[in-house]
Amino acid sequence: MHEISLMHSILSIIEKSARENRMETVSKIKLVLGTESLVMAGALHFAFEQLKQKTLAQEAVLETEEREGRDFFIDYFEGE
Amino acid sequence: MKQITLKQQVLQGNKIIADKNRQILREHSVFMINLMSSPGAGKTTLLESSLPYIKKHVRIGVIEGDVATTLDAERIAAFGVNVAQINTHGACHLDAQMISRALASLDLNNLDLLVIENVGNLVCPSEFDLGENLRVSLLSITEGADKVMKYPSVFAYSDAVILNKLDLLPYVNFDMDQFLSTFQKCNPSAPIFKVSASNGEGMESWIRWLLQRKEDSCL
Repeated sequence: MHEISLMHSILSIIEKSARENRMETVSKIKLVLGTESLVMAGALHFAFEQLKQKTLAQEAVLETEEREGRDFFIDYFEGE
Repeated sequence: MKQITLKQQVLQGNKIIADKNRQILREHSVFMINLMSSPGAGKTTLLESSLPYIKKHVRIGVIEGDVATTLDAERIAAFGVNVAQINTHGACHLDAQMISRALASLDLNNLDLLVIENVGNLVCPSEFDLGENLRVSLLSITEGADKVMKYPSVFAYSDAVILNKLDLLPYVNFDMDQFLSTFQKCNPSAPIFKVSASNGEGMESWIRWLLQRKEDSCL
């Protein structure tokens, strides 16, 4: 479903949190995708590569982990 | 290097607004249902067939979600009920923010029941809580009995399923046993209503169930 708008939300949440934590760059983002969440990892990665430009996460790598269930959340991110 | 643990649900923003919608509706004693199906399953026809009966018992309003046009809203408005049309301009589902704006445009003091006709889509709408009290999914027999298996989310998280276009059963190859067994497996507690919205068959039991659920909710 609509992975581009979901990735847009994810990057907004991360940029806000990174600023609050006085970070200048984000190097890694880790997401958890529930197998029933209907979110496609491939489409998220594609959206990420397009949308990360000109954000704090422009050099970041995206890691996705699939788990049973409906969850779809940002596990953690790294940066400095 | 720092690691920041968020554990934040991506759709949490939507959930917060949905809970606010539910709160506003509770304050106005309005019961809201979210009606979901693929395009052409008969959501608008089901409403057209239900409205005359429902109107005798409660004051009903409708929120119409479509990618474009006000065609459905015009069909519903012809029944003399309050309608708010949402055009999503390409988006494949309604979200809680769109419903929040629609609620502001309706006179909630003069409503008891609000029906959201979601955008026709079996995938995306099921992920978004709109603040509804009940979720109802609709499947028409022309779509085929395998849809429950192919699109489990919308059916698994419904409070009831309506099987529409029953009048076409003699003309199409619909495996009723397969439908019943797969639906009961994915959602054992939800009732199944077999109806023909176009000729009225079976409509009464679905409407009675809906009005009973509204009454049970004390809204």
